[in-house]
Amino acid sequence: MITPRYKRLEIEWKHFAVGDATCERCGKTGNALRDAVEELRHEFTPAGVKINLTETILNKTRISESNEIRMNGTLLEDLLAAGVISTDCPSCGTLAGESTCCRAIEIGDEQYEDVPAWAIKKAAYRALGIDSSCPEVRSGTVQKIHNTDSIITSANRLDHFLARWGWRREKHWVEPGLYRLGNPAPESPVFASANYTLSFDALRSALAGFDAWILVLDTKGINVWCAAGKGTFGTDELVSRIETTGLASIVTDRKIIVPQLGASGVSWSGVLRRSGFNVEYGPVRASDLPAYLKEHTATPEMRRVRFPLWDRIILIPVELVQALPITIISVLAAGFLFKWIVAAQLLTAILAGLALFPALLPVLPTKDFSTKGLILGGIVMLPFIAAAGPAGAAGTSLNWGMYLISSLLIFPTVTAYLALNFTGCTPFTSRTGVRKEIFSYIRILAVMVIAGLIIAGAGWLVQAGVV
Amino acid sequence: MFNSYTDTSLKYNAARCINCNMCSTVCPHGVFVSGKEAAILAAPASCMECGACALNCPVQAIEVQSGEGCAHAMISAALRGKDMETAECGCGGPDGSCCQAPGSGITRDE
Repeated sequence: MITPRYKRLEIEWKHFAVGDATCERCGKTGNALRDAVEELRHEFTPAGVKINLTETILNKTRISESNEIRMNGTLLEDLLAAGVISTDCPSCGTLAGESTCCRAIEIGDEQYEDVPAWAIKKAAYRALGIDSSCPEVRSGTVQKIHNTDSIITSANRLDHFLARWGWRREKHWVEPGLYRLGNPAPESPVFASANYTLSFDALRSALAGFDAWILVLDTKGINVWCAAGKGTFGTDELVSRIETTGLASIVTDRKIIVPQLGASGVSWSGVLRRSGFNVEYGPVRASDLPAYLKEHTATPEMRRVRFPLWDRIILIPVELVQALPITIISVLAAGFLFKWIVAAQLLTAILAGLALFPALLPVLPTKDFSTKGLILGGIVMLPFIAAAGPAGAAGTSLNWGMYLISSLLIFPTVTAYLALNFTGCTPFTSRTGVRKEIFSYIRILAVMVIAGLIIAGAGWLVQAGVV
Repeated sequence: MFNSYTDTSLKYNAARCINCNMCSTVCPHGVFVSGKEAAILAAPASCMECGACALNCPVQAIEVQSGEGCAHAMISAALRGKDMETAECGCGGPDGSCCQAPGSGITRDE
């Protein structure tokens, strides 16, 4: 908790009003001020700070002072090293019955007719004597609000295609910050997303027909779930992004709908305590959002992660791309050093592990990925073994027997190892389980390969007539 | 037999539960379900140790050693002489990873 130097904060706000009516910019400032004071009280009451807000109504003879805020006697613009300008205020003009100009402030390159909540809080921190190096103070710069829509263009589709193939994977990201989807009002819902194009596009396309705010976190171009596991889609980034976008001064409802799969990085209580925003966990899939938004309730099915065929198949391209260099090298080496049929067997075993395994995952027997891989690897070797039968290329029964055994010992282990590595791509394997599987099978796979190589070597010696 | 995924580091102290339903809300595998007076640990073997329940439990009734169940990352860490328990998926790293593009498949898109 930050300890302020002063235990009292007197905030005085002056504004022009006629009866209960005030101008638009003063009305917005008033709302922001009340929100900011509520948050400040929430933050500093435990530290014994008393915060008092005084509102002074001005008549039109003092309209030049309208929307002036002082904190412990110091003007807000002085606390923020901001400038003051005068701009035309049609709303005040209507109330005053004559053309009127009102004060506005300039912070950096930005001009504000009404004073946003973050600026009020930043000034309050300084008025309380809190070191300006505190992160809460430092973060008080409002970022530009981006505009977006729900249309997925052909360029977006190309981007998705390239992402799936692992092409320049570090380039598939959008600018973090706040986005307007459609034409959102202050009371429109706010959704959190990752700055990975597939995540962001899935969300905005699912919200077709809705006006909403999208708060894009800086997840370094990584999807929500993986980023949540790493903490980049997490409490700190969410709170920081709420502050730097000035979200509290833009929306009226202090609630953010966070994808359920972001929950492994986000603590709802931490976000509430630090930002005043409540976290509502939406469904797992963006496509369920329209149904979810009807009553803000997710069905049990919406809360479950599934791993259907299409989800598994779309993983295959990047698996192939990642394994391409080692596959080419090992297959060519096998072809030149041994026989091209060996190279073909190795290529088949690799492709089975990279492409067939994801597709067939649920139908392969057993739960362990290694045993599933061994079974699949054995099956894809059968055509080679059959083709090299006693009457085939292997020549003698002894040679064929050795070929059969060595083939079933060596190549299925390749498939099994690749299958084991697929655990990280699934949405259900636990670290405890994977660790157990690694310790259970890695030694067995190694022994199988060594035994297979010994038998293959013996077979070669028999065929060559050495023994 | 041939199932390494029966054990879990998940621990649940039902006596602490205030029945806020947050665990059953955030769990993507139905490990917790709503109960009359407290959440019910219905399917512990389905836990993938993502840590969402523990992180969002307001009374620390749940403990879990969360981490990524990725053999590639764990074996790579072991080969580099590092602790397998601290292995992290290579998402965003110089070599990319298994899950950045594909794992963001439909299940992880949102």
